[in-house]
Amino acid sequence: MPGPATLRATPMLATSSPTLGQMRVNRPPHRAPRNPVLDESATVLAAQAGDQTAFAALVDRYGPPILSLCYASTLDRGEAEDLAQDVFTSAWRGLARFRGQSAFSTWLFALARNACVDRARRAAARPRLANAAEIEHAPARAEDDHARRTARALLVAAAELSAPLRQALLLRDVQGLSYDEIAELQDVPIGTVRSRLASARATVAEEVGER
Amino acid sequence: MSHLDAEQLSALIDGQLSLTHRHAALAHLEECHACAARHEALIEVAAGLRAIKPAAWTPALSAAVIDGLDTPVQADRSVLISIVVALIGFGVVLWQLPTLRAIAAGAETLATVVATLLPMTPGPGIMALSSVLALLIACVLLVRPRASRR
Repeated sequence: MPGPATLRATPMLATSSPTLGQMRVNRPPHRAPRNPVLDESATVLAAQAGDQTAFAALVDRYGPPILSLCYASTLDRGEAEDLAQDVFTSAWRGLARFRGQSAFSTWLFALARNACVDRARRAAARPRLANAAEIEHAPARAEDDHARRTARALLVAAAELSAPLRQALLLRDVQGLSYDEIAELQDVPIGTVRSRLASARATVAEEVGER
Repeated sequence: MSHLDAEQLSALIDGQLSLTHRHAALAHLEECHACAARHEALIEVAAGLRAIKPAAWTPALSAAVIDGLDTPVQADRSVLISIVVALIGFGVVLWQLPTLRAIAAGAETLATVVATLLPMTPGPGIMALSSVLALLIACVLLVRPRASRR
């Protein structure tokens, strides 16, 4: 667990949400289009007609959340990237099935959730060597050995959580997504996100505290 | 104030409590060491995970996705061609059903003749060979009248 230095820094975390918002260092800045719904509908229609440039725009837009979900599910960067690419390939092949009855993101995130479930089912039959490697070499933001050891212990505990709790925890605390974004990715109300996060954090804290 | 539950403590970390509830929770934490300790533990989890670099989507990943795409138009066309071929095949079978029956009967007769001429028991090999021969003969017979008409 973090030492006194970390604990001294925590009141910032406790009192202001922008602090956690600042951790979205690798997320591209959001550029609001003039009319996002109309623009996206046109892009999706163009992609359905076989326009790969339009589909590339959708990939650029939804790549970060899809990868976040895949990483939160697999705890393995390489596998998450492969899985995210598979999701987009499936989306491309299945674009004709998207009838526009829901938002494109809803349809795409459902594809991603199903892919994560399928992957978890396949992975259950074999040893989690990749996860172990990820945990062993958890890349810390700071080159701090203590932070790395803490992160490793937390990831080991997080790996034992159920998939929905693990996803919520990593989406929030590693990937830096907002409650709204997590709710959309997991297709649950914000209240469920809140309770999943609380439960995940409490379980991990208890697990790490016992070690 | 009663103890804060995990959901309240977690929401406090993320700034998800309303101003009133946040002030009440912070005031409670000043007095209650048990809740303060649980709050610290949750903060340590959040802060520890924050130290991990997030998985980041890169332009190279976008490029890899786009490079790996097949064209749906081609995919649709291949499915359409398969359906058309299957329908034509089915139509030919229906149209030439008497001819096919005759070919099958011819193949059977041919197999019997071959088996009689050669000291062999009629088996699947002979039957297949006879079928091919019968088919060839049928094709020749079908094509010849058209060629002679030209």
